[in-house]
Amino acid sequence: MLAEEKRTLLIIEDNELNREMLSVILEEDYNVLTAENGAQGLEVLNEHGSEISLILLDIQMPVMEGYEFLDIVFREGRFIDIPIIVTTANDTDQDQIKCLTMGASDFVVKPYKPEIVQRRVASLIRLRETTLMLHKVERDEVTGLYNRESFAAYANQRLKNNPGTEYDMICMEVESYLSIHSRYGEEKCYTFLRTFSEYMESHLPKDAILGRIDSAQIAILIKHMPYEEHIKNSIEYDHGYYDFEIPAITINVGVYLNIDKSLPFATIMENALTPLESVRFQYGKYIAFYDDDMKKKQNWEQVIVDNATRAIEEKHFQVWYQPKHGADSDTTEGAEALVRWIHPDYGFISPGDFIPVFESNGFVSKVDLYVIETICADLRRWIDEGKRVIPISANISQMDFDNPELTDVLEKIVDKYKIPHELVHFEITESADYQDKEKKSVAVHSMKEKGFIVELDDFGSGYSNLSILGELPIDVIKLDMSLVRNMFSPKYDAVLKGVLYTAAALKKKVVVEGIESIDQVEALKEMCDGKLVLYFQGYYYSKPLPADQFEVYLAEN
Amino acid sequence: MTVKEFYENISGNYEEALGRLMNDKLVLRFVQKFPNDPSFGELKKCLEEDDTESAFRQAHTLKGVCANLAFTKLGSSASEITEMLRAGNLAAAKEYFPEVASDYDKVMAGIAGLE
Repeated sequence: MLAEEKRTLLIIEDNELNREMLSVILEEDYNVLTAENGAQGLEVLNEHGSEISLILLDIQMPVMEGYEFLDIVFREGRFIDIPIIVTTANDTDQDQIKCLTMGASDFVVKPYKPEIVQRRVASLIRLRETTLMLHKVERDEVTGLYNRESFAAYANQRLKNNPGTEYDMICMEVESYLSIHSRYGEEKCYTFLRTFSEYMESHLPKDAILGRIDSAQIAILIKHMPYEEHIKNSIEYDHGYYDFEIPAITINVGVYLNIDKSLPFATIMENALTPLESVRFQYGKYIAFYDDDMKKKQNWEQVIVDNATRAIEEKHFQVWYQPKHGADSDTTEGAEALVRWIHPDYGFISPGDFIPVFESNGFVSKVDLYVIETICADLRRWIDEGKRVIPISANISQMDFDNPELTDVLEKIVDKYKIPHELVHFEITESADYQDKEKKSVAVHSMKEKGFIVELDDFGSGYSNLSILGELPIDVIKLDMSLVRNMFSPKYDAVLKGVLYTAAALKKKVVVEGIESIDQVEALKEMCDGKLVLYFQGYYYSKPLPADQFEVYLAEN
Repeated sequence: MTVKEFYENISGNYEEALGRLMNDKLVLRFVQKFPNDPSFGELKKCLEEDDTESAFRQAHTLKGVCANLAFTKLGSSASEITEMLRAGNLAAAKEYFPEVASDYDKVMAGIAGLE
């Protein structure tokens, strides 16, 4: 608001003479609106509320008393930031105290002393405008809650000032906010957030501190309450709150119970956000509680992400080979290349740790190409040294198929090292998603055209679907180790026989993974009875070996 | 009769009224509004109806108006009766009322004499 602009005042006073006198005192400096009673005053407020900078209110009026007016204004809360000066005859302190406790900012007594009235009005308007400016800086414009910075400031202050009190922090998140935003538009999203915030504010204890800390996240600092209370509340947030314009919004809740006040505030907030990871996109699961393992896991994942690029550059990833043993030839006829990560500081990092992380951040595609390049380099070296070479298979992750040029990229690498295509096998897995299937089908056909061998990995686990065997021109089926591990129980025995029979009928070769004993080898040989080409892979023969050891193994087996 | 003389006649405080309303013309304008102010008439009616609470409101309003107009004498008797009514003492207020009425009449007569 410009400094020169005239502010608007509302005078609510039933006595005409008093009303006009106040107007006369103030109309030179202000636009003056008047109302004869509280009810009329509310009407004017509803119509001009946003323009009104201050209200002068007579406390004794016939239609709606000043007290009643104060009560309504403060209960409704909509005009709570408009200062109210109560005008009163100078007879009792009690009236004045009552007004002030009901929320009035100040009072002036009759007879009016113009200069006093003018100064009080001016200073209250100035105070209000300063507060509003501060409010604007502190508050999120959409929800009216604190913004991230002021939430942190106030919540931190609360924790510091109350060393004897236990607090919890809650972080709530609108699931899939971005897609909701693009589907329903900003206005509806904002309406939802505003309504939701109001709902939260009215349902939480009055002393809770709320802030919108991110576009779709609201953080709450609240006095400690038991675990069960939080669960009960979270169900209410989710089920009790449905926006009619945006159906089925899911609110995820992360809770950090009994905040450790010695931690930096940023860490406290992080801890409350951490559990959200475990409830995102989990149907029927809306709330999770922070625990230290969660944090360890998250930190570890962060280490993995942070070190990934360097691991490629500095060759911390190594390619190890696990032999595939021919059932008929009784020699090594192939090997699966497996990535290993040996970090200079952390040592051996388990693939079970880093593969899921790389699958979720997309880095797995880089690792796959790195592995293929390493395989080709090793094969080239073995060929050049006149060593025995066998086909090596490399894993192609689901994400790799997102690249429509995948086959060309792979071929370029293999050709760079002048490796015959049939020496490189690609292991793919099935996918449940229809679009993924389409992409995969296109890629597998082009791999086949270029003369590569395609193996179907992990068959018999996850999304296994027999129809894929008919759909894709796969050469080899790799049976998941779960089938072999339980092969001596009658049910699995039947399943295994069925799969082997199908493979034989389709003339697919079969690699059985997870071979750990001679009994398994014998039993499988018997089942197949020479009707299909069978390979064994597993610790019974060899664990995955680094390249130099694999060379030695290959010379002997 | 000038506005100043009027104030002297009714034991009012012209300087105070002038201070509030900035100029003589405006003081005159507000003084001339006084006969339309309903609070005295309402007070009288409420007392006749033994409605103590409403009588208190009206007396209180009259007191406020007089204070604003700097009608000191009428304001003072209005204040007296306001306190009696605030205390719920209807009988005393009724007994005192002629005092208020007499001050009021003086003011009304004075206003009638203004140009």
